[in-house]
Formats: sequence, structure tokens, C-alpha cells
Amino acid sequence: MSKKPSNKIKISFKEALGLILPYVKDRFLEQVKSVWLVISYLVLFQVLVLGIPIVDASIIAAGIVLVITGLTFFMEGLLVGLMPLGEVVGIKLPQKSTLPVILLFSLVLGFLATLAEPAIQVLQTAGSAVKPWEAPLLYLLLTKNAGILVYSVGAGVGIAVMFGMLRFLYQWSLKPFIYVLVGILSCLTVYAYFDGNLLNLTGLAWDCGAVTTGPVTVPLVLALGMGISRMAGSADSGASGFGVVTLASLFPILAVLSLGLLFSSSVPNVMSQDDFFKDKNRAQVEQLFEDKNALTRYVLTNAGLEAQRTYFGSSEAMIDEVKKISSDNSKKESIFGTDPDAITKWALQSPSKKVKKAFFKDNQSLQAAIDKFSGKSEPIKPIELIARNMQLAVQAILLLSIPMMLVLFLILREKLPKADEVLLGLFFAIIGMGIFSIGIELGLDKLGSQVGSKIPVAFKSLEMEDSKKIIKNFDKSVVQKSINEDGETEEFFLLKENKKVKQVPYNEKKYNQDTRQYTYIPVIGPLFGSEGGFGGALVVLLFAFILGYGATLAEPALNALGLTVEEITVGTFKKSLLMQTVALGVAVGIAVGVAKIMWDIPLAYLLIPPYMLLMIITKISTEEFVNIAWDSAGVTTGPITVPLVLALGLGLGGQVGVVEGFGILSMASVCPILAVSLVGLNVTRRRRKALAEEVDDNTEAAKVAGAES
Amino acid sequence: MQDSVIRVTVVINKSLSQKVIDSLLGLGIQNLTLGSGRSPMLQENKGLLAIFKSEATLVDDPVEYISFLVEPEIETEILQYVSSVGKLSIPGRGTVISEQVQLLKAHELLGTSKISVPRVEETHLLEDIVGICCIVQRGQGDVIGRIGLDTGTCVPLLNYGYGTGVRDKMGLLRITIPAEKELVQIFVSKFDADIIFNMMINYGKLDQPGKGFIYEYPLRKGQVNMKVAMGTSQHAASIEQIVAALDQIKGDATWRRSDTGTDKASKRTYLEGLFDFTLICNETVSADLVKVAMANGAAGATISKVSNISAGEEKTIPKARESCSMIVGEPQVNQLIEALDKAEAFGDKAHGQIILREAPRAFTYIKK
Repeated sequence: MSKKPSNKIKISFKEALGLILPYVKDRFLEQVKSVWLVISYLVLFQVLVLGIPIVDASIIAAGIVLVITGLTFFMEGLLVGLMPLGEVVGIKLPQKSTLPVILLFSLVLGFLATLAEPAIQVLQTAGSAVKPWEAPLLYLLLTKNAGILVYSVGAGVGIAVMFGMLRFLYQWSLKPFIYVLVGILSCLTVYAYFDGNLLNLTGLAWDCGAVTTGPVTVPLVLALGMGISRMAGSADSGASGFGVVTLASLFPILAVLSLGLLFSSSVPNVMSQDDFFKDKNRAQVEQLFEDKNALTRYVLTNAGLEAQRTYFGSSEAMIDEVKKISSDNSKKESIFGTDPDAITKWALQSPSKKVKKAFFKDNQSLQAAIDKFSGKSEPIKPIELIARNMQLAVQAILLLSIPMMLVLFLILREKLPKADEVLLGLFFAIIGMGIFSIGIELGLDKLGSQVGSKIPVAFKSLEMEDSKKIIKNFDKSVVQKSINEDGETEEFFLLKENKKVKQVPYNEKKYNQDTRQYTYIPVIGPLFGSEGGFGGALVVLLFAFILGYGATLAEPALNALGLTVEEITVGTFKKSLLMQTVALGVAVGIAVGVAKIMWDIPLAYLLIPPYMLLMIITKISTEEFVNIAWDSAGVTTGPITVPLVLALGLGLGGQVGVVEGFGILSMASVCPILAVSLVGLNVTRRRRKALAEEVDDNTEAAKVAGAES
Repeated sequence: MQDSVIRVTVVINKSLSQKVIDSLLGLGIQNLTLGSGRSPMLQENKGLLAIFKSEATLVDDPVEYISFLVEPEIETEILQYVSSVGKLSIPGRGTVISEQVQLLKAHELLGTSKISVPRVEETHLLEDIVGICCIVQRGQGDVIGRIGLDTGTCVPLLNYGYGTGVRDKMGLLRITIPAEKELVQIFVSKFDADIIFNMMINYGKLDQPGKGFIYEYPLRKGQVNMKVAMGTSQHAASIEQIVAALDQIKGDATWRRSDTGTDKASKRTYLEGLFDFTLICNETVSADLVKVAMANGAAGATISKVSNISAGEEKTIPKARESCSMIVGEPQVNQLIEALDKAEAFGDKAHGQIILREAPRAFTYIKK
């Protein structure tokens, strides 16, 4: 070549489009492939099996499109930006810095990861139904001491990443870590089983382990590990780069359980709601709340009427107190918040007639308030929604990538290879994560909670609040009576709806004489078997199973893990095999977790046996598969699975009345480990067999040779 | 050109590789280049699957490939030695081959090792063999690798790499073109090479744009793993063993020669007289050095991650290395070396090593 080739090729707009369009299309379709199963399943299940129309269908549809778009950007951002960044830092770190620096960096990174991807909101949602008298310790850690909980989980993840890096540098096996940590955790869980307060905490602790490792942390830590172990150590050690996620799942459990032990002496014991609000327990109870106002707020908004009476002395005293609050602006704000209508809303929701009378002059003003505040869902505020989610996305990605870049530039004094690509990737990741969270909030969350709250109709009858109707000018003369074999009479009326006439049981309480309106709430279920029967429960378990399977396939962190595993094993462990195995594991785990909630099985019974079994399997498995299997556990519970599963757990928990909805996520972690380990054992067995076969062939060949001579 | 040396490459099941590495280091070989790959095998479908899928399934085994340079005098001895240490005469355990390459320039630590090889029981080594290397998009490797298995010639070696080329001259738009590649290598008898080469072009549709690149390179001697299918044979000796025995009786593999050349193939014009110019250097600097090479005449590179294993405790050469293979014409070779030298490719930052081998025949889509 005589002329020096120019460094850049000029590409016309049309050519660029020709490159970009198929690129976008491929990636978009890939995400469609990963989420279509879970979405169409949810929709079809609600519409066809439960026979309930979907509320807000258009918003949900838009949300789903956003989820797919967001995932497309986010996955590309991971592959182009975050993971290469992690790998570069990983390769250069052991070469150019000292051990203390590496360890400090790991500690900080782990801690930041927890702050960047705040799992605490997820856990608070899961614990939103927790009553302070039923589980005081749990309540304390989720509300007043939530900050301490987050920091200790962060410290747990930090220590985990540190040990993970030490492992890579010195080629330690993951197995002893598993034996020791799981051993300690099992002992603690058994110990907690005999302490009312700690027992309720175990679910939170094990779930913490599952949710700490999010879609940004996992790929970054995997890439970092891959880089470090390529650089450090002697020969190739099988599954180099894995294992940090495992440790980052186990250490936080330990952190939360330890935190529980620390606080368990200072909280009141589990007691009845009535006792809880009695004066003699007041001092201890106040420890659970930030101040007196917080306790008052809790009593007013969350406690039952009986408890309110116990707390204030009588209904009248309570009304006086509330009126006092409403006149004192600063107090009002600290108890009821900034919403000017908060007190009216509160009075409206109170079951006490006295309260209603005290706050509404007459029935008309009551009715006006009902019309104003009830039945309407909060309107979506698009700007607030976008701003909030984008801010979280920026926070999650920058909090992790900026320290990495700082280490690269300032400590390692290296430049970033393909900096433009990495920056574009980070930008994609932020955009993607933002869009995707908005989509989840609008689409998946809504869809999940609709199905989740209705799924109990499979085994029990349920009022459909969503499809509440108000019949105007209700004429009481249409009400008729029926009689059954035992001679009991029941009132009902005929309702014409969509050209069909159906019977509706009449309930005197739902008729408002003044407005002549009858509030009709359709009742559905049990759809399968008898009330509370086994058939319906089986349907719920099956539902949970398929939901778990579909949701897991869509998880971005699992995708990233699958790619990394395929890359490191040079294709001998295919991404699809890993994903299918993990998804099946999660499916089983979620079904078991749902069973835990439906029949209130103590978590220790469900967690300890599989973990014991896993210890044995770990002992006989190869290092490669131990690493991959245990790491899969950490990636199963991500942004897609968690909201769907929580909605399901809470919906069920609310219907069957359990203390807390924790535990499903931890089941969804242990089962995939089992599944992947078993596949690993099978593959190892096949490989050994293949080698053994060759030796057999040889002895046969030797025989032939012997016969010839 | 100077410094003609022998490069020995061992492809061996991962669970057996450590033993081979240890014995090679024990002999006094200073540096080994190690890479991870996989070797597929055919497994016949059983039960329900057999009804729906007549084609045998591929089962992958993880393998490692180890290569090192030795002086020509000990070529046969070292091959015999490796074969005996790895028990490669047993089908299915691995492959060992030697090739004549030019060590054009290298960091001072990366020369050949002067060693003496202990005598071992002699096994028959094939001569007249060639290597075929095919570079395709990630995911297409099985299609190409299968050819070796289906024809019963050899168990292929597949490994991952990524490519640079036109892609890197496109600015940020480059992310729209996947860089991930899969490399398939097959070691076959000279007489089978033609037919296999053309089958690979046909199966991989390499005559279409953007599908891949294929080239042939000469080998000297070797023992090739021919256990292409899993499962115990129903006969006293497997077909692979019979073939190997006949090879031994006849002295070479000429007798295996079958009719070659298809109509389509005869019309093909191959690229001839090219060279495979491979730069092996530290992973941290490889991207920069490839850039230098591309500014000085190389059209593109295929980069695979490899590890360096040094004898002794002192680790002067880092473990994480990359092997960057560039197909070039003879005139570019010296220019490339000069440019790379200027970029300090052979200093302590890069620990570079350049190995040149002939690629007498190559093929890819060329725009007319």
C-alpha cells in the first residue's frame, strides 16, 4: 500500500441507518423474547383463568413497552460499558497496586453497591404488613433502624467482595467459605426459631441475602473478578471470576442476623395488639418508634379501633387529640404529613362512627367526602415519575462506575481503553435502567399486584374492589328472598349487566338510604374446589411456579451471568442451559415459598434441609460448578422477579393473615443452587465417563494387539 | 527470514492438562502459552429425541491448548514425549502437532528453550498433515466444527476470540457490528484437506460477505485425536483405531485419499502466499499494539485471550496475555515489525513475541 490508510471510514447517513436498524431490532427482539412469557402468562391467567378484566390495561401496556425498551438499552450498556470497565480495572489492579489497596477498594465497592441499588425499599415493601406487636424486632429494623440495617448489609457486601478478591489472588476454594458461612447461618436460624422476635427476623435476613446483589452490581463484580483472576494466580482454575456473588449473598444474612441479636434485648416481646398499646408497656414500645409523634401516627393510621381506644383511653379522647393536632400546624405536619386533606381522609377511613360524626357535619358532607376521596387512584405524575426513576438509575450506575474510573485514573494511572465505547455504554445503562424502572412501576408492578391480589380467589371467595359498582336509585322492592333446605332465608336481587341477568346477594349495610345508592362489589371464587380447599391451593402453587420461571428468564443479571459463564467455559456451559436450569430452580423455589406463606410453615424447616443437602453436593462437586451454581443464586432475584413475587406474596399473605411476606425470595435463591449443582454433577459425571470410556477402548485395543502378535 | 523454529501445540482435555504442563515445565521449557477451548464430540440421540432429531447431538468437552517453541533438532522427541505423558495414543484424550514457524522478534525472555528430552516409547506420528483455521461469527463454530466430526477426520478445536478490522475505523457505530468470533481449527491429512477446506467454505457460507475467513497452514508431524463420537463401540477396535493402524502399516495417510474437488470448489479462486502474523503480548497493551499494526498495513486482527505460564517462581511475564493473529502479505511483514518495535512491543511493558507462519491458501468473500 503506497498511501497510508486513513483512520476513519466515512459512513453516510443511509449506511449508518442500515447498520443501526438491524442492530436495534436484534436486541429489542431478544428482550421481547425474554419477557413475553411472563407478561402474556400474567395477562392470560388473569383474564382466562381468573376471569377478571385487567384494570388500566393501556397504562400497563405502555409500561411493558418501556420495560422492553429499557432492558434493551440496559443490557447493551452492561455489555459495552459496565462489564468492560470492570474487566479493565480487574486486570490492572493486581498488577499495579498493593494488597491493602485492592482490599480497601473491594470493601468500598461492596459498600457502595448496597447504597447504589437500594434493596431496602424492596424489603420495606415486603415488610409493609408487619405489625409492631407481632414482630417488634423486625418492625424496628424496617422503620426506625432501617438506616442501620442498610449500613450493616453494606458492610456485609463489602466484606464479601473483599474476601472474594482475596480468593482470586490466592486461589482459595469457595467450598470452605460455604461450609463455614452456611454452617453458622443454619445454627443462627435454628437458634432464632426458639425466640419469637428473632424468628420473624430470619425471613428478612435470608431475603436480604437474595436482594443485595442487583443488576448493576452483579455484572460489574463478575467482570472485575474475571479480570483479576486472569491476571493473578498460577494456572487456570476452572471457574475463575465467580464466587463473589455467593459471598455477597451470604455475608449480608450474617450481618442482619447479628444485628438482630444485638437489638433483640432492647425490644419488647411479641404480644397481643391490646397489650402493646397499654400504658404499662408504653416505655418499651416507644423504643420502636422515632418519637411520640411517630407512635401516635402509627396508632391513628395503622392500629385497629380497639387498640386506638386503649392507647388514647377512649374514642372521645382520640377525637379530642386529633382535633388538637389539626390546630397545631407543626404537630399536624409531623403526624399527618403535608397533605392538607390528610385528616379528612383519615376520618373517612376510620371504622368508628363517632369519629365520622365528629369530623363531618352531616351525611351530605360525608358523602361529598366519599365521592371526593374514595375510589380514585392517585393520578400518575409523569414528570415526577421520570425524574425519580432517572435519578435512581444515575445513582445506581454512577455510584459504582465513577469509583472504578477514579481508581483506574488516579491509583493505577492508566487510561481507559475504548473510552468512547465505555462511556456510551454507561449512558445506555443509565437510560435503560431509568426507562426500565418506569416501565416496571407502570406495567409489571401493576399487573403483578392485580394478579397477586386476586390469585387467592383460586381457593377462597374474594370481593373485587376494583370492579365496584354503584347502583343509583336503588329500589328496595327488587330485593327477594330465597330459602335453603335448612329453612334459612337469604336476601338477593337480580342485576342486569351486559344484557345478562344475574343474582346478587343483598347486603343491608351496602345500601345508603339517604342517597338511595347501593354499592355492589362482585364476589368471585373459589374458582377451584371448595373454600380454602386443596385444589385451589394447587392452582396457586402452579401459578407461582410458572411465574417464577418466566420472570427469571427476563432477569438482566442472570443474562449477564449466563454470558460470562459461556465466555469463561468457552461454550462448554451454554448460556441457555444455565438460564433454563436457574429458571426452573427459581420456579420450584417460589412455589415452595408460596406454600410457606399459605400454610405458614416456619422458614427454618424449608431453608435448612436444602442447605444441608447443598453442603453435601458442594463437597462432591467440582470447583467450577460450585462457583457457578452458588453464584446463580444471587442473580435470580432482580428487578423483574422481585416486584412480581412480592405482589404475589403480599396478596396471599394479606388474605391468609400471616405476619410477614418474607421468605419467598430466599427460597428462590436456594433452589437454583440445587438445580445448577445437580446439572453440574451430571455434566461432570458424563465427562468422567467419556474419559473412562477411552481407557476401556484402550484395553480392548491392547487385547486385539496381543492376539495379533 | 530468520530463526526458523518448531512450535508444538498440544490440545488436551482440561482435566489432563495440568499433568502435561507440569512435565513440560519440568523439562526446562521456560514459557508456555495456554488457552481454553472446547472439543465437541458426536453423541447419538437416544429415546424420544432420536425420533425428532436424526442428526447426532454435539457434546462439548472443555480442553486446553498449550503451545511452546523448541529447536528443530528435538522435534520428534518432544512430540513423542508429550504423546506419552498425555497418553495421546488413546483416542479421545487429545492432539499434539508441530509446525515450522519463524520467530521474527520477541522479548528477550521469550525465545526457544534449550532442553533435552528423555527417551520414551515411540508412537507413530502422522506426517503430511495440515491445519485449517476458520474464523467465523460467534455461534457459528458448531456448524464448521461438525465437519471434522461428521467426516470422521478429526476432533476440532474451538475457541473464542474477537475481531478488529473495518469495525474499528467506524467510530462509535462500531458497536453495531459484533466483534465476537469463534475460531475453529482442524488438523487433517494433506489429502483430505482440499475437501474439508471446501466443505467448510460451503457450510459456513464463507463466499458471502461478513461470514468469515479460512486459511490453511502447513504442519509437520503430529498425533491427531480422531475419537469423533461418544459411546462404546460394538467392535473389538473402533474405526478410529483401525484407521490409525492402517496409517501405521502404510506409513502415511495417502491411502485415505478419496475423490476431491467439487464443481463449485474448482471455480473458486483462493488467496495465495499469505502469512499468519501472530503477535502474542500482554493483555493490557494488546489493543494499542493492534491499532499500531492496523495503521501499518494489517487489515484486521483476530484476538484470543491466552495465559502465559512461566517456569520458576519469578513472574516477570504477566499471566494475562492476548494472541493477535493478522493475515498479511509478505511485503507488510517488515513494516509491521518496525512499527511494532517503535511502539515498544518487545520491551518490558508488552513482552511481545511475533510468530510468523505460512498460509499458502486462504479464502474469504472479496468484493468484485
